[in-house]
Amino acid sequence: MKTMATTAARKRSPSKEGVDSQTREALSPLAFAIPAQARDLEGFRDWSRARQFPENGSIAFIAGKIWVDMSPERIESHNDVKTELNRVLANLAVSEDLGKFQADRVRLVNLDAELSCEPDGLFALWASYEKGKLTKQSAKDGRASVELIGSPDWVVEIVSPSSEEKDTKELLSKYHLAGISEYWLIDARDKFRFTLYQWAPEGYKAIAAKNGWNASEVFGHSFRWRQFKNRLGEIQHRLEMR
Amino acid sequence: MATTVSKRKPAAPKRGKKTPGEDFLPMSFTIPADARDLAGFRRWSCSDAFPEHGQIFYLAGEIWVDMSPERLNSHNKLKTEMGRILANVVVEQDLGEFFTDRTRLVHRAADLSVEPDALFVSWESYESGLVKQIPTADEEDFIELEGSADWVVEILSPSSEKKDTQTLMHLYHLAKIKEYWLIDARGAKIRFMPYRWQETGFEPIEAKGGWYPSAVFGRAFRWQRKKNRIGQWTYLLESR
Repeated sequence: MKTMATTAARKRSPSKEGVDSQTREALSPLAFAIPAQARDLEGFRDWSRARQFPENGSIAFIAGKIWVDMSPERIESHNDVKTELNRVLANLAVSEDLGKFQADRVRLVNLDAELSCEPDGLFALWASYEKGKLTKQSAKDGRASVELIGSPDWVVEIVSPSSEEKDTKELLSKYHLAGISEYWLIDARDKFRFTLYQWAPEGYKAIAAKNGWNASEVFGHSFRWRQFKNRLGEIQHRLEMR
Repeated sequence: MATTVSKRKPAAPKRGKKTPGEDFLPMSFTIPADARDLAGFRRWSCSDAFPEHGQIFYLAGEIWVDMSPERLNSHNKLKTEMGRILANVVVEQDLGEFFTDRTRLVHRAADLSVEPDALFVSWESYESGLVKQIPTADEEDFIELEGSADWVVEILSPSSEKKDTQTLMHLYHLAKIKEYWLIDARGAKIRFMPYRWQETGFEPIEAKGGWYPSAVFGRAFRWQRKKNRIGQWTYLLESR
């Protein structure tokens, strides 16, 4: 029954002339199909590892819900903060040989929390890898890793208008379920807000700053954010550590 | 000093209240967990939480998302021309109701919730119950058409080609749409590909002397285009 329609479509297929459909697909990063199987975590993971998964945007599986964000990244209130976190924390991880720091776009999967998402940054101590708390999942060709599975020691989310509800509510409970020791939540849109959450059995505890410094057990240091104007007159974020 | 999270008031705004800047970001949304079947998807698509922008369809289990801006020369102009001609034919001959794009069509057997680029429902299809208007919660209006529309059209865009020529070709047939028009105005020539429903599948309607007969509208049609005075395409849907 399907044959006739398919044959007819093929005979008249518009892709026969000019650009082939694959090239055209590449021109449309804002359109994609979520397969029917992607409605549970395993199906979603299969999709997220497939060639058809959109390269652009941010797509997360949060306990049955699929969160889609195709918004462009904001520079001042998001990318600048992320870059500063990378500068300070990636250096710290190397200089004190603490573990591995990953910048954004690394997919984190946690089975207990039914979660597949890309935090704005994540970190795991060497011991966590050694104990198998966090493992890598290879791509189908076996050459590259495309997922981290388990519980890192630290994740960060930088709030944007499109992610506020996800970051401040959904992920706050899911990262806790996933057993992540520390969750940093940063909102740099208006007044800069930095909340350091520490895992406790009953829920994340927001750790109050002491004399302006927030103590991180994971990194073994205290941190504070400072804003100043750079030589272009723009607000610059600095993450200071002691 | 530590406070537990659960006691804090959530920082996120309540639904309906928009934060500044949210208006600039129509490209983010959450697909609820129960939208995994047609009934759940319809609950979502009829709710306030459903995105106003972009196109989100349910295609037999698959959820198709397209946040691309509409292309004007190869998409919007054709849609406008069809509205001009076909909406007039429908009114003049009192055939039924013509709906432009952004009208949601649902079909249970085809497991489908979609917004075609335009659709038409004849008076007969309403009267025989083939197509129903599904009322809103306040029963003041309707936001879905459910059943077998007489005619639908899809104008191809780079992002929709596979959906329109393969997925919807199959699902519109399952939905017993009498006529399915496909139009592709992206290449060197405008391509008009109308199909009629047959038990075995959609059958291409052949042109006679350059004119494509349509049983649904009781007329024959052809597409022409010419360069207008600003050097762009002007499309003409001619009928006789």
